[in-house]
Amino acid sequence: MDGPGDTIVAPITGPFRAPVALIRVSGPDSWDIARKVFSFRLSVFSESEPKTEYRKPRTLEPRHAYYGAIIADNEEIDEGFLILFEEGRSYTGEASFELSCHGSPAIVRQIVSAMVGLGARPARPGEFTERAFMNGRIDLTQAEAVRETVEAATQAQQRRARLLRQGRLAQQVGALEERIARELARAEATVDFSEEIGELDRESARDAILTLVADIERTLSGYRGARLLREGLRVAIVGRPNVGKSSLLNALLGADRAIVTETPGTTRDTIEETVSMAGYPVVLTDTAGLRESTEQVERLGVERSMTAVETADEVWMLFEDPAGWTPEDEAVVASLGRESTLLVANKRDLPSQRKRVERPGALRVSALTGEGLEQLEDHIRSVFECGGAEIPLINERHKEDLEETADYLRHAAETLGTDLPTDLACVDLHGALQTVGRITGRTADEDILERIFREFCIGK
Amino acid sequence: MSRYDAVVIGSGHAGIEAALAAARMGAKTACVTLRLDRIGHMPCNCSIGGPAKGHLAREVDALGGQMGVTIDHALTHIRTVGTGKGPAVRTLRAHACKVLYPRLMRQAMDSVPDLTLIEAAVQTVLTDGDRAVGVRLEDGREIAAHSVVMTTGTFLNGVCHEGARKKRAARFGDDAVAGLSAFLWDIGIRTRRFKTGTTPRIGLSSIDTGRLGIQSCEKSAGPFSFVHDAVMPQSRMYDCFQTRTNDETHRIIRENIHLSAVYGKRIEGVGPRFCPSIEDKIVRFPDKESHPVFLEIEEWDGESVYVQGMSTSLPADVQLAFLRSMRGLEDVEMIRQGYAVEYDMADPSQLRPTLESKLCEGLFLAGQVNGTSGYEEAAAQGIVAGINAARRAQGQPEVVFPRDNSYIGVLIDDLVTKGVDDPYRMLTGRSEYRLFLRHDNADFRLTPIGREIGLVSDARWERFEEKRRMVEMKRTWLDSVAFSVRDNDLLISRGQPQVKTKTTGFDLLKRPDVRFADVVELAKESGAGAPPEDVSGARLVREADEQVEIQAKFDGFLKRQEAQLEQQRRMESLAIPRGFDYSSVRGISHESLEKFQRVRPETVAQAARIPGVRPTDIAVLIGHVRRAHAGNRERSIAAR
Repeated sequence: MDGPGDTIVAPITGPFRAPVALIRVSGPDSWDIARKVFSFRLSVFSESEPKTEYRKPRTLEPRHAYYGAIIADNEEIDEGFLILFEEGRSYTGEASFELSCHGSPAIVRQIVSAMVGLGARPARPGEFTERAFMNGRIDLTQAEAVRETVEAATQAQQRRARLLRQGRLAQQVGALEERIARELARAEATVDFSEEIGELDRESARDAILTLVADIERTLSGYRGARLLREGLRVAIVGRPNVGKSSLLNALLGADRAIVTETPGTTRDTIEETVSMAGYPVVLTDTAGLRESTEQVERLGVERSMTAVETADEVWMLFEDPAGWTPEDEAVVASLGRESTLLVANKRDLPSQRKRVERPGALRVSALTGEGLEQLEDHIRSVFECGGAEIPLINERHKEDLEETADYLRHAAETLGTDLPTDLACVDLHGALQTVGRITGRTADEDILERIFREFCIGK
Repeated sequence: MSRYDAVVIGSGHAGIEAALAAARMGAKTACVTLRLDRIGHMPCNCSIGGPAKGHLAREVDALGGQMGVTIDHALTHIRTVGTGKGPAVRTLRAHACKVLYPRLMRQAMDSVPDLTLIEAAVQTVLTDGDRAVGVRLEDGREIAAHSVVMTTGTFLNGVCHEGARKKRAARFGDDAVAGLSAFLWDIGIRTRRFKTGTTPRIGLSSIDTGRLGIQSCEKSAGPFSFVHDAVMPQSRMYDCFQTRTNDETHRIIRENIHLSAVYGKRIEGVGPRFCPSIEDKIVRFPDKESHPVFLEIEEWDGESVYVQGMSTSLPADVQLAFLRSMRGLEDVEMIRQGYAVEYDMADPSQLRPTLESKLCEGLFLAGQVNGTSGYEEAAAQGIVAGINAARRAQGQPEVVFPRDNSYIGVLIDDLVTKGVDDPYRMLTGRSEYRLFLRHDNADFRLTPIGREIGLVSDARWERFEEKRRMVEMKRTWLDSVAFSVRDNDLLISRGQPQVKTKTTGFDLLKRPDVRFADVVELAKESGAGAPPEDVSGARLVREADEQVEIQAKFDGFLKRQEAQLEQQRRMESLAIPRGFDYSSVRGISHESLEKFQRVRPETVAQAARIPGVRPTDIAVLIGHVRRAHAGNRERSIAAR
């Protein structure tokens, strides 16, 4: 049966080669399965032939690590550590165990299928966390935070996910919800009891609602920050051919990702890499050098560069420090059609040429020696932190609900500004309350589990 | 022993609708009442309707109930209330002749073949295990029935208070009943003491009406019933008079407040928060210098006048003194003093949404015994209990009224989900989707349901279908007809702003001062064509015009509320299996678990409405309920 009564299994580490992988089994049969697949190794020294014997564990203490062999069909598959967790003290809240093994996808597959043979069912993505939620171990926004934590690649993403796990978003939205409820109650009271309490002061109600809209808008503006944290700041590195764009990418990445030659126009296609700079995620796009070209492949590359520029949050315009700012560089910047670009003068390790034109405001770096690269880190830090120290907490789901809430509130304010009856403003105030409640779960929503748990990419 | 499908105990406003609904649906029904001459008695305010109560009365009518039809025959005054407060608030309020209304109700009951009236006292409800099987009368006779509906009002251990005097009585002139409370306790129903009050009655000829404000009767405001073209022609209608309390009135009440049965602590029962006595008003709103008082004539050619807004349990001499302190009442004579009544109510959170007891199968409770106040609230519960009592006896699926489709649904859901802390009165604000629950479209919401269950007569159904056809036709025409810039001269000549682009008739009707007839006029003049000729009576045409006008004028609001409703409906449709084991759900907090087990909600939406339930527990519940459904599906497939 597909239900709370069954036992599920899945690797909780990624599906790639790694030194070690971890497999989790959760559900009522998990401890039985653990006893069946796990054995202690006894080395038996025999005269004739060296032989390994196995002993089934008699008692296993929860939350103790045991080292031994993983056995399926009377054959040792691998070795690793076993830890049992008792009901109520595990991640899912159920009896469960975790088993480490070597991180070969083939071994992991073999072990998982052995456990399926023993009665476990492969877990759906997010199912462990869903069970943790269903068993009251975590609440909804915390469950969402688990996903973000798993996917967090940088310190800032981790910090945001930690705040979410601590329920900070629920607090923020809860306060919003309370204020909307208060406005609705004030308006609604006058619908039935205007004789007793007088009519609604529509002017002040309207002001209060518009203040709410402004507050939601401020929260929403933090969404860009949140998106940047989750997806990374997209930076397109542009410049004339051979100014060292690929070298800069490699330097920031600390790996030879892009092919670097002395021939101008080597990079024909755009290359995208995510790096952590100052603890923040940055998606760097190395583009083909921008110049008029007769060669078709290179022309296509240039077109792609322009696309990268259009979708970028930021454009870094590279030019050669020794040569200084040239009319060609000016032409490239003009062709970008962007209001602002960050100017980066590369190759500052080389001596300046004679007719060098100084370009004020440019950061002088050397991709080759690493000199001056810390200026780029400082720049990234200021981009992420200039929006205030507050870490934005909302994600796409929250953003949509908040936008809808603000729309309802705008309608309510509009109604109060006309001579339409107060009761009609209640229609939209109620809509706002119902919508904002979807974020916290106060508004019961059948899809909410779907929306949260199905986005997990692995068994976690 | 006589056998019936349903037996109804009581013939107040709940009992009447319960008995009539069951009998009209073809269930052999008995209605046992203490006094046949008290059927449909109006011991308090002799009015039907008012804010939110008018909605309930119209909904009872739309289902095929009796209240709306009878009041149209028996009213002495009618007007629209809530004008200017929006389409959701607007409704009717009528004053009944308190002599004629009960007499007509008696006639209505006598005329239904499957309904037997029995004048007797019920001693107890007969049970077989956890199932009600009939009633035993005081004289020892037993009546067997598949369903038993208790509509005992204020009769259970009723005590009347007039100042310091108290006596065992359900109301003026009627004895209380003791035995049935014991039955309720025996089967585990929790009861509490509630209190309600009524006002003094004064003599019409002793009122100086010339010095009073007047609320005119608006005869065209009616009728109440969807089956009538107009209220019944009467030789004359009455206006209603208005005066106000003043400093002197308040001083008299304040100085004597210790003599009041409530403030003198002689009453333990909880009074209605939203229908306060004059003592309550003065204590709770000390800053308010004056309260409005309405004087309502209670019967044709009679003396008795009801003093609306002045319910009280002060001694008679104090009542007379404060009455005489008011303008126009300086020489007033008091015909009967106001008094308070205390009674046992049964906790409605022990009922299912059909009003059947969770503790005793086949036992239904409806009306004031469930902790409500008001005739309309009683009638609404009565018709639901009657419908389900009949359905049960006939082996048909039960009928539940969702709160997004009627005030009846809001009322019952509030009662069974939240219970009551004080006598429950319906208020407009209690419905979150009230723009759809208007009094003018109660027939669209409920008449098809009433027809399906056999409660709506052929005549009512034909009339409704005709109205529905007309609304659809008018709406289609409005969408098809269009005005363009070429019609601007015409529009301007009629005082209308010009159009900038092609504008449909429906869009033109959205303008606040444009009526349907205006669009028809403009379309004829512009050559855009005319709608099909109206062939129905003037009343139906007016009702149909009103529907399309409301659809147009509040189009944006209706659409946005519809979006909210959709989401809610999905939750209402997520049923929690009967007998769902909450204790097996580990993720739910203790406080929510306790509430789920007590209320035993039938849908996830109902669970979410229980006060004090944590939102995250609802999400957990959703998950478990879906698993239970998935499990059930697998099991049922396996069984095949």
